[in-house]
Amino acid sequence: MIALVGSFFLAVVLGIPISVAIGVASVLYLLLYGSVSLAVIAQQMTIGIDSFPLLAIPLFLLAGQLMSEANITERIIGFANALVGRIAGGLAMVLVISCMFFGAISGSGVADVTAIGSLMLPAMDRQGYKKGLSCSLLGCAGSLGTVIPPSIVMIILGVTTGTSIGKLYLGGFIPGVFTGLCLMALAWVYAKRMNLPPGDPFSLRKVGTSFRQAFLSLLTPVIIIGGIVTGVFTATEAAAAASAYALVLGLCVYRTLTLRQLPSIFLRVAETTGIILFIISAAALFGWILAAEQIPQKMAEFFLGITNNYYALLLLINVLLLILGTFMETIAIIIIVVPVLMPLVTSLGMDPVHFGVMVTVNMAIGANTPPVGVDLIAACKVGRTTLDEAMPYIWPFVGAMTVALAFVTFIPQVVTLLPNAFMK
Amino acid sequence: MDSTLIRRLTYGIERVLIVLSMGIALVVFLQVVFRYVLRQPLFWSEELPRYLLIWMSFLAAALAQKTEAHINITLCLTWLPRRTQRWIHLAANLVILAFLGVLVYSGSLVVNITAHHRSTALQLPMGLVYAALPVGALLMMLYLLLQILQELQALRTREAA
Repeated sequence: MIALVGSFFLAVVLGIPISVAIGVASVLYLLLYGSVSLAVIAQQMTIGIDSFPLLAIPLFLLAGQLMSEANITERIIGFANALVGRIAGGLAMVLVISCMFFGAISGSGVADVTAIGSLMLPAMDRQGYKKGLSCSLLGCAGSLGTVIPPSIVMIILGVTTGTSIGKLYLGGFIPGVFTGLCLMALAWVYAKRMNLPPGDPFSLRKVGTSFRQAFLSLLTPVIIIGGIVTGVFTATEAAAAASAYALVLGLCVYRTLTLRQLPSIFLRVAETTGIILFIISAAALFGWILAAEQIPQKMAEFFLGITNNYYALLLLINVLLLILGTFMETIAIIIIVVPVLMPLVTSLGMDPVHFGVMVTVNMAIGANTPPVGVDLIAACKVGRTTLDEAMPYIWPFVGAMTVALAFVTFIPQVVTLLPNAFMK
Repeated sequence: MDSTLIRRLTYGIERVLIVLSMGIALVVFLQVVFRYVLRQPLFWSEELPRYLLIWMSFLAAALAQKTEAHINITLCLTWLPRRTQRWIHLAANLVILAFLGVLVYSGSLVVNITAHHRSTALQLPMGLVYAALPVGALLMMLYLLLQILQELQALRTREAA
């Protein structure tokens, strides 16, 4: 066990890709202690990604790519601007709301950050926002893309733990919106202190026009969530339907997409999918070893040895995940750590959907904590600034998200209300 | 190494990836149409995209090696002197190469075992599905090997200078 984890961390520190590091650790373990044929390596790595639900990953990536190539981002920002532009620090509010809307179309944090950030950050620069401030806010708001449905993180979580992806999606809705509001509250405080200007006055007419312009794109989440909730679609089918819808919207309605762009869009989808699924594939082998060695049971005993108080345990798990999140990548944590913890928390009576959403919010924080915070890094890249600039601002925003995480952790209804009401 | 050959290979892989990813989207979409609109579910529409996904993933993983797009953490190394960094990078690449070698070997074992098994819906030989990993790993090795050779060359010229 120590050899397994030790060799993984050594490999990661040496700069070996996470997927390969997981694989190398597993192979070493099998060579040293295993008594099975080496064929098991390729077999588990292939079976691990032979799954219909995982097909939702390329398909949601596709829907997101088509939507941003079709320039729907401008329409969404226009609508958000009409809604909240008037508030102090108007652009900061617009940034968060736009990220939330776009998060309801795409399933990934980084996609959210780049799509919204590339349009919003230049405008914020002109109004005198400190780059570190706007990039920190962008990273955090963008990471809501994984909490607000659809979500690629939740697909992986659902597949590896056998939890209903539809229920996870519904469960993520309130926590995602709530976390967004926490971010907006803190941004408002900054705006007051730094005297950041509000936007144009609020007018119902403007809300109406911008809503009409954004309406068809805002229909995407309705198709996805509506389809899954009513049982018409599985998550994978919903993703395919959303892609088809985005294609028709871009090619025929908005006419902002051309057929010539399609090959490169499909290629990009394939490349991103390959990187993600190679990690999942290697992790399947790793997971097979963990199961064979009964690591989940041993971990459960270890944790229950520390405390068997439900709340203390949740606190402990959250702290552990936050620490892991600072230096490990989300997908790797989800597929290595979460299946180990799931049996433990469910044995204490926790709803798997509640646990899954809690982990997703926790991971969204991890995506913004240096050194390995992919969303924050992406935000700094879009904003052409350095992590150092963002340092003074990121921690308060991470703090705001942690407050939201505490609510999600200790008030299960925040998560379970919608799935219990709509999916039985 | 003939670089036009490599360029052609990369171009070929990219075209195949585009076809695979379009195929996945199309088949899953057809599944929805056939089930809900035509009320005549297809018997192969769950199986085929899964196998296309396996091939797409391992081929794309190979292509990601070419651009070094696989997610890794280099932060721990940036504190070391540049020379040491180069050597560690070289060592890391050799570890990856060995791992890929294991994948090719292990994959060929599975392909041999499953060559005559048939899939449930389409009656495809399962060996064809399991071949994706060793083929992807082999292509990845090729790209990696070229990178290692380049690195060695860079190290040698630096040493000479």
